[in-house]
Amino acid sequence: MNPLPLYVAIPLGAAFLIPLLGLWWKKSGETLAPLFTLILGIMAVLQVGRPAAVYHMGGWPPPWGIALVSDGLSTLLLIAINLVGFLCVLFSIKYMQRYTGLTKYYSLFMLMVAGMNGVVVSGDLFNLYVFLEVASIASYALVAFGVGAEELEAGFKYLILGSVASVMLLFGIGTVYAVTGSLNMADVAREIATQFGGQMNPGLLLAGAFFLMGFGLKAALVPFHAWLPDAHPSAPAPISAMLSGVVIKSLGIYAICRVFFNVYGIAAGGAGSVIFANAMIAFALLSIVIGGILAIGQWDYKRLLAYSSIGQIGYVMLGIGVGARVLATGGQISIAGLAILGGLFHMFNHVAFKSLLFLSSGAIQHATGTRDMKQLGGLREKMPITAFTTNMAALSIAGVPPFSGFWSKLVILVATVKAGYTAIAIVAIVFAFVTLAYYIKVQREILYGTVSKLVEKAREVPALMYVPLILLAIACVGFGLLYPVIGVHILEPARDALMNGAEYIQLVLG
Amino acid sequence: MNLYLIIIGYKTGGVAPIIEPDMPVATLERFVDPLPQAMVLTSIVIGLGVLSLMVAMCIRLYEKHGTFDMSVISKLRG
Repeated sequence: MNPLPLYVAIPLGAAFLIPLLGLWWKKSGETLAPLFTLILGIMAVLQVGRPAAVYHMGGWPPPWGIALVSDGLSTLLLIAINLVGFLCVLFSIKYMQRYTGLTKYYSLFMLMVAGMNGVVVSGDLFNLYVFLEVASIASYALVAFGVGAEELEAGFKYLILGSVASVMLLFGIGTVYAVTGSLNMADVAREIATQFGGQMNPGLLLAGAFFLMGFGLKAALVPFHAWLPDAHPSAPAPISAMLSGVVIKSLGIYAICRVFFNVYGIAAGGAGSVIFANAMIAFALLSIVIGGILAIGQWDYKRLLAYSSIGQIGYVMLGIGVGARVLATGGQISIAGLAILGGLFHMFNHVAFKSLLFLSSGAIQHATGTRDMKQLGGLREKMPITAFTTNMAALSIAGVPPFSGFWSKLVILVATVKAGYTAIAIVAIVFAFVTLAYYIKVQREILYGTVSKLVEKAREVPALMYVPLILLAIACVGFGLLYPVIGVHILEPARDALMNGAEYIQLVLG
Repeated sequence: MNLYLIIIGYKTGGVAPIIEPDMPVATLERFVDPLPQAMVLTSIVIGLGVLSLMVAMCIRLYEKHGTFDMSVISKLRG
């Protein structure tokens, strides 16, 4: 049996089951949520190496019915979403104990997972939008879950900006439908390829701009990033880890890749492709520069991490944008492949280390009650496991060899230089050192230094909280050292899915 | 927004797209496109969900601050 609908059905069912059982069974969320996310994670890992699959909802063949598609790129995202989801739920069990309404928390969490899984397996533009809304609405509520003044304001801001993005996307989808007469992504792609022969129709250009704005807002690329530095620090730590680790990637980066590579056929070249590729590179550079500069000045640990997310998303987008531009201008395919591979690899690594950093910020807040870096220090002596794992993640994200972050940044930079964009590569290298600078600040202010008053009383967090940290720390090192395995089985199929637009059409329409 | 979607599917002199047995082809051709209408329905439902969440957050914000004035509420720097 084709397991694709289960990725949406299991978490959606769990989201309704948890509050229902919660009426009689107080621990329903804490028991069922980890169980179901673990099952989903195992399912996603088992999907590695299988051929791409299509599921027709309700037995209606495309382009009439809604298709669910899993190819290399979807598998990559499914693994990230469900495994990080599992670790975050595991972390939540102890961390969330000081909040009330826990069954609602786990219910919303599962809804968010359902929405993200739906986005990455959907083969229909409007269906993608609906799942994106499911994930977004759940995340608005989760950001405001603490119902303090700050949490509510951040949640409200995120809600308003998220709604703006949704309207943009709906405009874009409507315009695409008006131009091509279809919503099925493969069918739209075929229409664009055949009807316009690669030439960009003004309607499609407008829709593309709407998509770049809408998905760019979800991905927190720089001109649209204003919600992220408020929403991420205000959310409970496991939710920050989910938001930064997978939400901005599955709703933002994944959707941009899917729409521009597989639907717009950016790889095939044409008049509009270069404009979109240039826009991607411009947003990427802005994100790298502004995210990096603003992160240095932060004294709130989670806020620093949030700005750092913007910068790192910039690197992911840079790899993908350079790949898109090389393909659109008819450059060497091997260079484009390298750039896209670098972007995807950095995205995969960022899932591991940024989730780890946000979870560690939660552990630190749990133990000391603060996330103000000025009041922390000398954590290494009091919380050795948290400090050690945080250190691994900080080294990895800062790009110190042999950790995974170094290799992915190296691949992106090598590809950028090879493609002939030396100036862009230099900016990216400079800001790689800026990343190093602010993570050295993290190390100095939090992990090393003199033991501060608050840290004096801190104890190591319980095992349920540090086990996810250790697993993610292993991933940070493992992704770097085990690249031959991960690269061939997970990343290269994802890259091929992006680069061969024609194959996607063939796969869905048969 | 919803109007935009409806306009996409509209034809001059269009009729509601309901198929009945032995309908003349001329009527079938005058059907407006039903798909944008389905999209609008979905978008209205989503809009309702977002709006209710927004109002709930507004109520909680009012409880905290006793005002709806954003310049008083606003503390975060963005």
